[in-house]
Amino acid sequence: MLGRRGTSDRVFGFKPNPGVLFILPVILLLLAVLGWPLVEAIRMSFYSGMSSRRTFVGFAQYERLFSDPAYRVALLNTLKLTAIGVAAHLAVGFPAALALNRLRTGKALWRLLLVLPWFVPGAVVAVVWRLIFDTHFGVLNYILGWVGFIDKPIPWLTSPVFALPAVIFAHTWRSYPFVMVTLLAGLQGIPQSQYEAAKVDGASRLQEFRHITLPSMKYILLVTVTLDVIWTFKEFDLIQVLTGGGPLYFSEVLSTLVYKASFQNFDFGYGSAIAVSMLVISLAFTLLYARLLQKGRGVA
Amino acid sequence: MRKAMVIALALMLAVTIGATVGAKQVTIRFYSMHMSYEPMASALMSIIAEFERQNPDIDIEPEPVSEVERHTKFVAEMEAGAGPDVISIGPGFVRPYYEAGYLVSLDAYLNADPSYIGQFVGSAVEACTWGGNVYAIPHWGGAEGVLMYNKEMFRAAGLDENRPPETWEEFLAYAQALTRDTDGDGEADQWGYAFRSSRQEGTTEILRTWLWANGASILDSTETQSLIDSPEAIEALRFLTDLALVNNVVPPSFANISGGEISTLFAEGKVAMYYDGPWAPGSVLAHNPEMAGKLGVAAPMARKYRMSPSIFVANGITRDCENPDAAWRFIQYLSNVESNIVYAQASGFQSMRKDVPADATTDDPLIMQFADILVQYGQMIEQVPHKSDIDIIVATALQEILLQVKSVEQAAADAARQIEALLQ
Repeated sequence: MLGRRGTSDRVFGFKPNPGVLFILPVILLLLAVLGWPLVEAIRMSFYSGMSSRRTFVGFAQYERLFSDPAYRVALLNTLKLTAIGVAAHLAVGFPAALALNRLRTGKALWRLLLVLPWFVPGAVVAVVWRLIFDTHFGVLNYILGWVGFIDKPIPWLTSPVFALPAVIFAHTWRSYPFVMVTLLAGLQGIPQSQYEAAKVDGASRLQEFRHITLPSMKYILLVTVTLDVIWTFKEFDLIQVLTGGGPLYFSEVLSTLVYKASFQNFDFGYGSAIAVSMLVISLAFTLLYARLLQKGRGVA
Repeated sequence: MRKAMVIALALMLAVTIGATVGAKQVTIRFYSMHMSYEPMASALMSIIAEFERQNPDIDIEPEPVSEVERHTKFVAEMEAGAGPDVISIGPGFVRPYYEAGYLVSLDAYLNADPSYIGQFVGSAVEACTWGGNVYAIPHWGGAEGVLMYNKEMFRAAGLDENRPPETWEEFLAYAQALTRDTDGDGEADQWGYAFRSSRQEGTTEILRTWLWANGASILDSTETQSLIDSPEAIEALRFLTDLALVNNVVPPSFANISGGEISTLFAEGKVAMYYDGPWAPGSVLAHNPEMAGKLGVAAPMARKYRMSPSIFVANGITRDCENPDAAWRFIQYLSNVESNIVYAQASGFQSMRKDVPADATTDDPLIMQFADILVQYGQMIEQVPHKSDIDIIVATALQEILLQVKSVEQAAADAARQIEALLQ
């Protein structure tokens, strides 16, 4: 037993911390499943060719990023998806959280119904939305035609104009529940006494929202948005199944470009370089998230 | 009594362990895109079950993979050193896989019986032979550039259902007559023709029908230069894309449409004509049984030539295979007369064995027509290096024209430059 008189509690001259020993298996597992692929991806980004004929090319793959028009388009589309998508998640999720917070009856049922899209796997969501957006047999064109908004079917997923907005719409449907649930938790943490005091002072609903709800939710809003940005930035399955990045590069994002470079063109080196560039951008948001968490702990 | 029971149980256990150890069971991973599609999957499963019955020491582990993902998944697994043992190699891919070093030579087996390889169609065997060694055994194939048309829609448009178009000019007139507004809302709701445009290999396979008809091709015979920007190729590309951009005889989703989506539109009576292969009647009727009796099949249209791009699939052993003898036994079984008849009857494909003619496997007049077109106009698609990349470059050029991002000349010139860079 450790520390028992007469027995050594040192291993190779070190006195191990029991806490570290307890979490060591998990650390080793994480290093194996997260750390090793990451190191391998960075290593591969300095090579070209497939595993059987790989050659070291230094930073050449990263230089390609700057001259590749497909990369520029994909980066721009990723930023559009992230900015518009996160704003849309917030625009749907925040009012839904406010409404749920005010509900007196059936709150659990409504919460379950509104959270449902989040439970559905991305590929399944994509297949459902493909059916909805289908040019010839889709429900959307049928309804729009029936009410007289359109006189001929719109090729939602094969049009350069509509493909990316359609992706953002489907992504919003899938992702707003996360924002809603997180913000609802924040809303439920605001002391009711603050609203009661405001009412006594004659504050309107809008004033309550502006001077009590928003300031109280500031920290949780920032954390939610940061997390949502990180997840939306690396969205893959929904886009790959819905449009595959097409037509041409009109809905191409960095994650689908990584897939194409690696598994269509078998240019694993370039695919890794794109993935590493995504990692660097994501890391910036992750650092922001970590700082916010630290700040939040300080506030608490 | 108890002692006797214990002895009996011990004996049973010993026999079971002995049988398990003695059998030396071998597992062969078999990779085939047709395991994902009916009725081909059921036919293959019945062939596999019979093989396993006759070869109790070999287990076949079929791995279904979709047509779109088959190349991607195979290359990824081979590069990771975890490839299957036997692969059903897709059209045009024997050469790229041989060049990548994924396939092993079958000559050791073929030398033991020199007459064996002579049982298969010569041009297909030739396409499986590199450096004097055979790397795969041809299995099944068919003409892919065959015109499928809807006889009922022909009649409704006042066209002779027994006289499908034979030239490009006739075809355009037919497509215009078949593009109609059937509900009177002022907008077309059925279209004369549809062609693949998604960025997949299948798109380029059908595009070849149009290029070859005009005397054009994607590569020259030296495989160092692309001819996709030749005047003949540009004329073919312009005629095809004008069907969408000028003549409006194709459905509105023309810019990114796959073979499967076109087959659905045809089965639903939204499209009157399209190019496809011998699997088409089966998949159309599976989608909509009411199409029975309405399907027409015709040879590809001619401009300068009448040629139907044809494909074949062959079975090979990969370098990752640890039991090549068992894998070879399985390939031989897949390629024997009985298995070929079972598979051809179920799928509509033509056997690549010389001694299994189409009339031995089907009495369906539609499938017989596919077989006749293969014999009369069939031309095997080229075994080119970088096939997957070249197919995607050409399909991308087609989308660029359809989306009016580039002119026909510009898209073709850019595609030619990319292909040549790849070849160098």
